[in-house]
Parts: sequence; C-alpha cells; structure tokens
Amino acid sequence: MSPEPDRLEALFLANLGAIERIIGTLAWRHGLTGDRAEDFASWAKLRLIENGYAVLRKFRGESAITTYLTVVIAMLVREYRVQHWGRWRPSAAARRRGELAVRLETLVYRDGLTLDEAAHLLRSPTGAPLTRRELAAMLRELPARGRPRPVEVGAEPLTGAPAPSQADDLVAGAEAVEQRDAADRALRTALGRLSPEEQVILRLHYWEGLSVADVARALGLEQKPLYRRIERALATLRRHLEEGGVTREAAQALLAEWVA
Amino acid sequence: MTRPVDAERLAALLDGSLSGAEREEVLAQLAASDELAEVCADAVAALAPPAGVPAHEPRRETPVIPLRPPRPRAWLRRSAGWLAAAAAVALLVLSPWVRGRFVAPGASTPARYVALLERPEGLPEGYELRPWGATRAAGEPLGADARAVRVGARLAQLELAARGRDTAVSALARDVAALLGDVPGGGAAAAVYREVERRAGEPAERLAPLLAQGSAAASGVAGAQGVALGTWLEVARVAARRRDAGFFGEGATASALALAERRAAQRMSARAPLARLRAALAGAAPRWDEASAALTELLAALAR
Repeated sequence: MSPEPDRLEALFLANLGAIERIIGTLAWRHGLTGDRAEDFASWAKLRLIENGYAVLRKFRGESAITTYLTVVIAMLVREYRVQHWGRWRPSAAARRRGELAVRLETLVYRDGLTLDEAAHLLRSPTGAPLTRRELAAMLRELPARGRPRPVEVGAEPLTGAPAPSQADDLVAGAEAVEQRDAADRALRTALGRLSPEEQVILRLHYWEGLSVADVARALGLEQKPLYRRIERALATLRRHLEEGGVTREAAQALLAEWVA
Repeated sequence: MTRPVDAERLAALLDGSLSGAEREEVLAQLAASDELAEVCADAVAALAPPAGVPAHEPRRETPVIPLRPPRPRAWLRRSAGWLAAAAAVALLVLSPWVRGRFVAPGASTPARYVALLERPEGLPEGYELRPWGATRAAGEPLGADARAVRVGARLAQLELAARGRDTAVSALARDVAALLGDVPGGGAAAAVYREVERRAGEPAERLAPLLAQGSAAASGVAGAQGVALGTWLEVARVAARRRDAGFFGEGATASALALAERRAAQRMSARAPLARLRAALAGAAPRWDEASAALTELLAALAR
C-alpha cells in the first residue's frame, strides 16, 4: 500500500472515537434514534472513507482535525436529512425550547407519530416518562408543521387543538400564511442591513437556538458584552423593520415571536 | 475573488485561526446562507461539552499513528548487534519485573494481556480455538454478553497469532468482523478487521496499530467489560497451557476473576468451572491441567 493511503487510514483510525462521538451527538440533535441513528452512523462513516478517504485528503491543516471532522459530519447530517425528508429542519421555536421539543416536533411532524407513540420514545431529562398532557402542552407551543397525523384524544381532551377546517378557516389560513411570508421577507431584509457579524450572532442565537455562551465560543467573542450587543442589534433590527414599512406594533410582535 | 466557505474554512473560523479579513469574508457568507448557519450551529453544539460534564474528547490534534516503524538512524543500525545483546541480558535479569510493566503506552487490552505472558507470541500447537463449540444454528441469537466475551477471546487469539505470524490471522480476523458486523453500529469496527484479514501476512509491528484501533472500536461496540473478560480468559488459557505462573501473579488476574464472578452469578454453567479454577490456582503449586480445563469450560460457558 502506498504511503498516502496508509497515512489517511491511520488518521481515520486515530480519530474514530471522536468521529463516533460527533456522529452520536449530531444524530441526537436531529432526532435520529434507534435504527435511523444506526443507519446514519454507518452511512456517515462510509462517506468518510469512500474514494480513498477523500474527505481526509482534502484536510489542509488550517484547523484542528476534530473541528474539521465535526463540520464535515454536520454537513453530512444535513445531507442525510435532505435525502430522507427533504428540507425538513427543526423550527427555531423548538430549538429554543431544547432537545426535548426538537425531538417531539421531529417525531410528530416529520415522522408522523401520534402523541402516544412519541411519548413512548420520549423521556424527561430525569428519565421519567412524559404524559400526553405534558407533551400536548409542549406541542401547542410549537408552530404547526405540514400535515401531522391526527392527535389522539383520550380521556383528557386537548384544549386549544386546531378546529376542524371549514371554508372560512381555509381562507383565513391562507391569509395567515401570506402574512407570515411577508413578515419573514421583511425580517430577512432588515437583518441584511446589520453587519455580517451581528447577523451571524442573531442567526445562531435565535434561529439556530444556540446559547449566548455557545455563540461567544463559536465566534471567539467575550460572553458578557455579547448580551448587551444582542440587545442593541435587536433594537437596530426593529428600527430597520419600521424603516421598511412595518408598523411599530407589527415589528414588536414579529420580534417578540422570533425571540420568545 | 471570494473563496467559498468549505468545511475547513468554517472549522478555522470556529478555531479562531482566521485572519481579520478572512474572518469577515467567512462571516459575510455565513450571514447570507441558511445552510451554512445551520451547519455552523450543529458543529458548535457538537464541539461544546454537555453542561456539567467535562468533554470526553478535548479539541486537540490527535497524533497520526504511523503504520510503518520509523527507519532507525545509521549509528543505531551499526550498534544494533551489541545493543540487542545487552538488552537481552538485561531482560533476563529483570524479567519478572519487566514483564508486568513493559507494555507500550496506549497498547490495547489484548496487547497488554498478551505482554504479560512469558512467551507473548504464537498460539500453542493443536490449540482449540473455539471452546464454545460449533457455530450456532442460523437465526439463533447470540446474547450481547456472550458476544462480547467471544469477541474478546478472538482478539486475544488474533494478537497472539499476529505476533507469531500464524496463518490463522486471516480466519480469526474474518470471524471478528462477522461478530461485530451483527452488532448495531458495528460496521466501522468490522471494517477494521476485514482490513486486518486483507493484510494478514504482514509483520506484527505493521498490524499492531490496526489491531489496537480495532480493539478499541470493538470494545466500544460490543461492551468493554465483556471484551476485556473474554480477552483475559483466552490469554489465561494459553498461560495455563504453558504453565506460566507469572501471568497469574499479575493484578489483572484478580480483577478478571472478580468480573467472572459477577457474570457467573447470572449463569449456572459458569459457577462450577470458576470454582475449580480458583481451587486449581490456589497454593504454591498450581494444578495446571485442571486450571486449563476449567478456563476452557468457563470461557465456553460465558461465550454461549
């Protein structure tokens, strides 16, 4: 065997433990469990070794190897998700509420499970099983996605569940979608007027659900001043929304929903 | 012209190793791309240690393990003859002390246990490699604990066979790959042993890093305790066959017997051979034939 494949193979094997850990963390983060998680793990490792370890051959040494592998695997998990479920991704609302909300949203809206089925798979952080009532309350806080399977109603009816569709509701629903799209466009335009670093800070914190500490660590910034900086960026964003024609009340409501 | 942000540039951003201008360039692309922002967030989440728990894998470069030993310098090659002779004398004198301690840092469990043998290479002549009997009927499941013990035993046999350049390396590696391939998530570990099978004729020092990595992966997949127990039992069988008292004087023996006790508590068939093993090893003069038979029976009981 020529020296280069030896070196790449050794590099892969030397980092196999880290690779397994990263794969496990990202699978969990994206709600991949059981057989699906195992399938992703095998698929990802094969992608890393295919074509004579091409991924490792591209490594230029500009970063730490574990950071590089982490980013590569983060790209792979996104590719895997798109292959299997199209452009599904957890909502920002779910990400802000934590891993449990992400998993619940994924199980119900992406995988089409009922609340009972999701409850079977989910446990609270203390390991205790969650009740339907707890899960229903959590699900109500998340935006409705796609066409979920009907929520099973047992002895405890779910208050606040969507009413059956009627003609008026369909029209109202379409208008709501259009308003949401318009607000989203206005928000993106206003965001684009901030500096790139401020945009990234707000995206990572509010859109992707990272804590301020994680954002600070990611961008090499001091954590304490970052809180104030985020407040100022939001104030600037509100001003940009108003300058873009969004009323003060609508801008406040939009941001309140976004940063809630 | 702006360079697109690939995996390494994004990694360099997260490592803080970009220049000011490069950083601005990457941030601008990150701000404009949902996909990049999502990948960045995932990477940050995976790199951050869980709250309250120290990171298991610190963010540092992992040294590459060369698969070929470095070429010795010229003066060392010229001196090799008398150095080797001096080393052999020293080892003879220090043997009991050295044997328990001269194990390469980072060596795998099989390598560590095998290194405790007086003769740490090669399988005994006419040795039974499958004490747990014939392969199970197709579809008959093998329990996780039994599989782990079986994997451990095979790893020990593989280590010995590789050191002795035994032709059994190929078949043993194939068997380990098959055992690991049946375990969820065991594909990558199995792939390592298929590679060992492919390179079965190579010298031990070239296979050693691959065996070390494979052993670590196999422990992670099949269960570290069970694998370690299987490894010790198999090496102990060889030690008993060769009447190697020094092996059983090591601390690993007490740990392994304690683990075997816990496993035997759940398996009736393991209790009697374990008791006979303890009896055979007790006292100043071990009863080697009884110890060898008891170890074989104990391994068989725990690997079924």
